[in-house]
Amino acid sequence: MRQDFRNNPKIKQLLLKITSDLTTLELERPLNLMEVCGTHTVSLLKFGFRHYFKDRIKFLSGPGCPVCVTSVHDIDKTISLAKKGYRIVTFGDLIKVPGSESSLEKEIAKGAKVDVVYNPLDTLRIAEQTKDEIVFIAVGFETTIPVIAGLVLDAYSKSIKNLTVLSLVKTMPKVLRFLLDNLSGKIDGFIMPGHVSVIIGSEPYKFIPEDFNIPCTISGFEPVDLGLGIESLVRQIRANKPIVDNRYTRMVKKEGNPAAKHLIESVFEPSIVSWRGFGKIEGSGLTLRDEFEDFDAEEKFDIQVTEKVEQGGCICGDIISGKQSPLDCTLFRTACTPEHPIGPCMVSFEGACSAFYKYGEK
Amino acid sequence: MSSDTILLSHGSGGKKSQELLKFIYEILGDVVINHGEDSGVISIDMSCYAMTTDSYTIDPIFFPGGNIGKLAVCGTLNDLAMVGAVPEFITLSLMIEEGFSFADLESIVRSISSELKKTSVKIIAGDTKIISRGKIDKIFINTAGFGKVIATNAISSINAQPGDSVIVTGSVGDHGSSIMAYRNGFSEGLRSDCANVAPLIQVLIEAGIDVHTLRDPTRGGLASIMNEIAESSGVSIELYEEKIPIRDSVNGVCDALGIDPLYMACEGRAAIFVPEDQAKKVIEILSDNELAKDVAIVGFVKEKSEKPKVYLRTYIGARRILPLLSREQTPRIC
Repeated sequence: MRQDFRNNPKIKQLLLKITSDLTTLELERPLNLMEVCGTHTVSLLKFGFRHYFKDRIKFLSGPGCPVCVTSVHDIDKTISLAKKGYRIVTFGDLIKVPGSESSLEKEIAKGAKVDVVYNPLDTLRIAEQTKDEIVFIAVGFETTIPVIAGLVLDAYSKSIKNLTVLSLVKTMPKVLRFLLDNLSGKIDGFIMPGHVSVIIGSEPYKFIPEDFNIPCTISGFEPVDLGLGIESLVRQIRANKPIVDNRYTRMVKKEGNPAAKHLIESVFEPSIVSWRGFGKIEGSGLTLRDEFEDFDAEEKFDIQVTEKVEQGGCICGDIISGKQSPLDCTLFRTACTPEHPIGPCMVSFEGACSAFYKYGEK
Repeated sequence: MSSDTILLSHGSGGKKSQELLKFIYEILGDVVINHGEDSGVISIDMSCYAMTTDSYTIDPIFFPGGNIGKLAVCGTLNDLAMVGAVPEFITLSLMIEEGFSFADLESIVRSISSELKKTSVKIIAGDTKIISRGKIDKIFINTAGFGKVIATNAISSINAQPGDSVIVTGSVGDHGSSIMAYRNGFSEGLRSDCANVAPLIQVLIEAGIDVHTLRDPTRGGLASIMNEIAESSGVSIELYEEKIPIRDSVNGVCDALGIDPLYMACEGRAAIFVPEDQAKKVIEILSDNELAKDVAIVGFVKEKSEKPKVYLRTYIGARRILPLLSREQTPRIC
């Protein structure tokens, strides 16, 4: 089934159609299409779309990599918890992200207790096997949040006493409005995040064509999916009739996944959260509802950390807001490499800098 | 060194591992006679012999398709095969944690025995050490191997020639992705490819194939060894994405975890570089063998280059660089 969307002659036809549509547009500059998902950033490079459309389409990487959008201040909070001796459980990428002075990886080398999980629910098993105070560092978007909600509900029903969650999770639609309010005129189309859309559906993006007159497509991650998505955007731009066009119908329904949405709402409520590159955006984060405050690390522990500025020169913030490309950064490939990442976009495999580095983008 | 302590990524097979090796080589100086190859080759009384050693640590020690014992035998036999040698002897060192069960030890030793019984390889020396609880993780195994080189021309990473065809003996990424999936709690349909490929290589050499370069894509996978060969031979290499055999189940788990199967380890495959006019014969010879039924020509060696690169011609026909990865892949979170 996967090979049907990967190794398929249909892709060549789609590319021809897009190329001919682009020609009739008689563009004076390349189209700026923003992908709002780290997996898309990787797919566009991995399958060669960036190379293929080099001078005709510029792909901008939006705020779609959960690690990349986490603020330095929030990273410093996780490091301070690790230093205080709490046992940290989190996803692999996060441990390498530099805070203002250290990183979880460096703290591990000094003896901090950090477990890396793929599935947040594994945290429960860890908590049950130890007397250590466990803090799960929750990052992610709507794709990951239902599982984290599940973790909280499980911990609640089992009355687990040594497990809390530091919620740094973020939701997608609000940040896109913020982005458009501050970047108007630059983005010609959006490739919407396929995984997030599985959960929230296509409705939450409607304001983009309606208020900003910008076309959107919801796309999957295989070459044929991306071909369909790009074809839709170029066609909409030609016709100047922007909509939210779902080209990932085998996975994404208009209404999303009601059960997952309900799970999120039953555990979390909207809150203000700090984004790298954007600052604080009201209602774009999620915090645990009052009834789950026993599981809220912010409630249980004193995590006051002084806000410090990011390391000089790193432009991750501008990259995830589409203002600059990794290639514009003077640190890229010189001071900042995957072995010695300075910013989170170089740490996460889904980060634009890491993807550009890995796929040799010049 | 750019950090003052050893990090896990120094063992990942990528750039950091090269940094570590450089550090050790510089201290050892000219007592090292073999750089970069899996096995060293020495000449004794007009014949050439190969020797290799490898330590095996794997979590989990039992995995779909094998266990640490089978891995410790196959890995070392494969390393000998990669310089065109027929394995004759191995050594076996078992480092066992206090509290390890006899039942598990029996399974591991039985696997070692059954793997060796398929060959004429004998154990020539061995050692056991028991280590206090918590000082090592369950069981570590070291094996060294010795064998006679039957290839008449030196098979080496420095010998890939412009025009050579690049052949892989089977689907790539099976071992690494099945281990990673197993660790993350889903292993449906996945199996390590752990196997001894020395008999495949022996058949090719005995059939008179002029093999230039051989490598088993272990740590770092196919993409990493291609980069190492390109660098060592001073040639660029181009691979065709659509020709590289990858199982659907491997693609599935790699997509779910956000990792690239081209960087996932194989433990029962070889990449073979031969002159283009012999490539078809290699396919004919190997495709009858169960271990190599998915054998495929996946690319070719381009021109000599001072800045050698590995290119991947993607499904959509674009050409991109297939670089050396600088660190271990971690599952994605979105």
